[in-house]
Amino acid sequence: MTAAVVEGTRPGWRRPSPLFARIVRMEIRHSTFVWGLPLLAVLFLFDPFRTASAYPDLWPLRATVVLNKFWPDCVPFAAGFSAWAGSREGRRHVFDLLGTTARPAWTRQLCSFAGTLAWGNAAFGAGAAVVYVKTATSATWGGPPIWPVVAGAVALTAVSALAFTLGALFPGRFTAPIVAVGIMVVVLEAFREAVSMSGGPVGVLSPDGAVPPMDSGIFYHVLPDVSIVQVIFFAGAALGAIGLLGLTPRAGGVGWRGALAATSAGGARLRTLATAVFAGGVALAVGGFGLAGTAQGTVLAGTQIPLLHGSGSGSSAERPIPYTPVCGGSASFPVCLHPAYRSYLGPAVKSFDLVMSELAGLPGTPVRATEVAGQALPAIVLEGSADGIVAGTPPVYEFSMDDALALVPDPAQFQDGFEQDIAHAVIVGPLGRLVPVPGSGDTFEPDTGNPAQQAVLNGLLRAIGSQPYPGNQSAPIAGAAARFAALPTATRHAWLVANLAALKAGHLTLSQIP
Amino acid sequence: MSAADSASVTRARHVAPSAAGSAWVAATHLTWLHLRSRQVPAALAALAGCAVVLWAALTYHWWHGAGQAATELPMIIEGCAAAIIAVTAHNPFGEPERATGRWLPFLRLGTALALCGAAVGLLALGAAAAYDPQSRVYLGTGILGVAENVMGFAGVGLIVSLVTGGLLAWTGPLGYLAISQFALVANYSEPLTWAARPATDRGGWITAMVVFAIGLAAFAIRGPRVRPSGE
Repeated sequence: MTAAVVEGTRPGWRRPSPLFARIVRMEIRHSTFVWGLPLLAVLFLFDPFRTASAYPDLWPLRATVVLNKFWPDCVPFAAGFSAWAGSREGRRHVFDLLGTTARPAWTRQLCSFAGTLAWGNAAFGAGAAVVYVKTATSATWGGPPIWPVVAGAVALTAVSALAFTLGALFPGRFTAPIVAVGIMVVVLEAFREAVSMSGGPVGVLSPDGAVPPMDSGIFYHVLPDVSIVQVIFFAGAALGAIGLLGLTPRAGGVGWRGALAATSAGGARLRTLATAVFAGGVALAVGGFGLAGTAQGTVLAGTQIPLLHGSGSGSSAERPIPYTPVCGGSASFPVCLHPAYRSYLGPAVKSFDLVMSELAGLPGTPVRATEVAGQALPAIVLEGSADGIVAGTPPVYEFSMDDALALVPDPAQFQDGFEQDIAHAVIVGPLGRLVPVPGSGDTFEPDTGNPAQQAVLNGLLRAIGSQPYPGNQSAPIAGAAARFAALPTATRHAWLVANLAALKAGHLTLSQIP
Repeated sequence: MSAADSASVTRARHVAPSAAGSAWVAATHLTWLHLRSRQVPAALAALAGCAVVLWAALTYHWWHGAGQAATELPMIIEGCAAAIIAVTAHNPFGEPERATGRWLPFLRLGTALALCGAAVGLLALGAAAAYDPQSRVYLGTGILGVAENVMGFAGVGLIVSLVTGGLLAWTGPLGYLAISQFALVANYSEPLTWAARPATDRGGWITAMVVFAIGLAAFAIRGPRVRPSGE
């Protein structure tokens, strides 16, 4: 029995941690990334956290901040410090000194890379956690999306691996800032591609992209296809960079010579492994890029990659999410919202109550208000910049919170939108119409009503404290509107009961408005 | 030392210049050694690279948008130039260099100023080479914006070098650059985000120049931090 075995059987003996883990722990403790943490924290508070706090408290929307705002913050730091760590041996001219170590250069470099990566991804994870915890305290429906965090972490790993390899290949004091800025420029250009909606693979692969509609992930499942393809591509890029590090002799790797011969002498196992990692990485990256090129936009479920579903049809993925609406308001005019918007039920009911107190009992007045998905509303609503539309028998006001709420919600605008829509529908009629234009699709022609209708509409809105309906605001119309608004509520309502049919038919003139 | 070496030294003594000339030669030699120890020639090459990138970005329309949004990419390039200047702050000799004489603060000051001038000049050259108003190819902020950003960012870098050491001073311009990018996109207009304000904004210029002056003065007098690792 050897001494080692005897020692191993002693009570309380702890098996020593593997060498790799111990070196990684040392690298983490001595990583220069610590210098970047205060700056990163300032950046996080300055923009991502501020933006997320201002957004409506919807999980899918606030989660976009993780990739659209915080991820680009982390990129220059992850790239810069990784390049810095990668260039360490070359910068200090210690290749000869380290040439006699028991482990190959690749192992050493991977430990250093892992130490830097741990800090980068920990910072990214911490930022995402803060955004999610903040959202959890106010969101009324749903849960934290995991895919943005996974895709962001893998993309950050790829950025770090690429920067580390560049640092190892071109060591020097200027490498870190140049690599950081270079990768920053690439990220910016990819972002431009993503927001330009060109549909190209670069735009699809960019983690940093456009803010999706507010209803995204609320009424219909959003496919994780884009995130999956991003993970495939960036995992490939990371592996490719790491494999390259192990192969290139410039960075202390085993060398390319005989890379494809598994039995070649001198570091054959290492060369085989590095070659396999490099080849696997390149294959994954090329595959991810190819998949991104097949992306198709769907109306309800975001971007779809048909090959990931084994079929070419896009509609099969558009699955509605079951929910029980939350309702408020009076029995005569219930207002129902998706539970994700529960915190806006009170302001919505207040807004509807004001306008319904003026219009109750008039023909064409809706009997209830119901929120629907933005994409379910007719195109005329979007074209007319309205929040919803009064339709059906009995009339129902169907609206979308996507249109009613701004990204940074404005309570006044939120209230006015509903009031304007309903008052316009009752007094004037439809929002307008889409007129086909040869060669350029449909053009929206708004129906703002004749001068008498505009005066009554704006007078009514003024009486309930809302902004005038967008359109003609000439002095005679404004004067008539002011007169109408100054009438007692009962008088105004009685006049509308008696004259609404004639007014709506266009038989009344401005001078006939009381 | 061999006899031949000895003869060579003796010959050199015989042809030594006069006292005044000797002072100039020594000063030039000292300056050159200082510049080389800071890798200024490599920094100039990197700054020239920034100018080439600016030229390419302008010529090939690497960005979209107009007005302030069009300054996003030039600002990144200016930030890179400032980071390069900040990194030249590193002193490879460590603490002993501080005992070498009274010229060190002036050498630091002169090097930083010269590199800022070179950066502004090279970037202006890059922008001028791409200038084509008929094709709407020109630098939106003009040379004023380049000078303001390069000097302001470099000021941040020099201040950070006092804390982190010269080699990590690039983190300052980069962090500030990221803040300015967000300020630009989100139309923030706090005085401290001068880079996001128009190049003709007086408040922005004052802030940038104050930061640059503080950074330059502190850096010239104190020098970058010398860490135990030598970095």
